[in-house]
Amino acid sequence: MKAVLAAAFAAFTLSACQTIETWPADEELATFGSNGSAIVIMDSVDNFGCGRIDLGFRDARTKAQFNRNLVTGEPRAIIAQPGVYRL
Amino acid sequence: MGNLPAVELWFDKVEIKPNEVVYLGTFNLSAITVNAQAGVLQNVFSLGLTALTALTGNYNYYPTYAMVDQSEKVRAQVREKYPQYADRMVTRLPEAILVPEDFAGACRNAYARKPDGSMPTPEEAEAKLDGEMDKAVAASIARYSAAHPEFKKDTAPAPAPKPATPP
Repeated sequence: MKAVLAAAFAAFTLSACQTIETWPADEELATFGSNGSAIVIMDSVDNFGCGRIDLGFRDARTKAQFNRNLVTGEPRAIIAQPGVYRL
Repeated sequence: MGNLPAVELWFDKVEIKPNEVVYLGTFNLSAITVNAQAGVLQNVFSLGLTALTALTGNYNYYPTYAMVDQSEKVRAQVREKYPQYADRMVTRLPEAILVPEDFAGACRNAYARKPDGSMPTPEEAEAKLDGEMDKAVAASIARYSAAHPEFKKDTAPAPAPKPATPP
C-alpha cells in the first residue's frame, strides 16, 4: 500500500503540473440536457503544489466518471450524467 | 478520483440531478507540515494547514483536503463565461467525513515525544502513523455516521499517508 501511495504522490506531482484544460468547448456544451445530462462546475484552491489539481468524480453504481484539471481560483465546467458520485 | 491520494476517504457522495447546473464546491488542497531535519525531528512539530511558499528546509508534507463554498465568486465567474447558466447554478457540496483537524491529530500523536522525552526518528513516527490514522479515520466515520444515519461506509480503511513532495 505504501508503494501505491508513493506512486500516487509521484503521479500527482507530474500530472497536476502538466495538463491544462479549458472550459467545455461549445460542441460539448451543446450536449447539455441530452439524456438528462447536467453541467457540473468544479473549482479549487491549491496551497500545496504548483497551482493545478486533477480532480475527478466517479459514480460507484454506473462507473461513470468525469474529471478536470483545475487551475487555482479558476472554475471549470463539464457535462456529466446524473448520478451519485464520490470524489 | 483524480490523482489525490486517499481523497475518496474524505468526503461523502454527492448527487448530480438531471438537467441541472450544479457547483460542487471549491476543493481546497493544503498540507500538514512536519519539520524533520537531518533525519531527526526537531522542534517537534511545525504543524499547520499552511501555504508552502514560505517553507524551506527539510519538511515532511501530508496533503489535506477540504471542500468550501464560494458560490458567489464562482457564480460571477460562470456569468462571465456562460451568462445563460449563471442564475441556474445550484450549490451542492459533498460533506466532509474526515476533516483536516482529524488528520492533524493523527500526525501530532505520531510525531509526539517518546516517554523518555526524546524525539522519534522519522521511521518511528511513520510507523506509528499507520495506527494513528486508522484510529482517526475510525473516529471520524463513527462521528459522521452518528450525525448521518443513512451513511453507508463503502470504502476501505484509510491507508497511512506517506510524506509528499510538493511539485
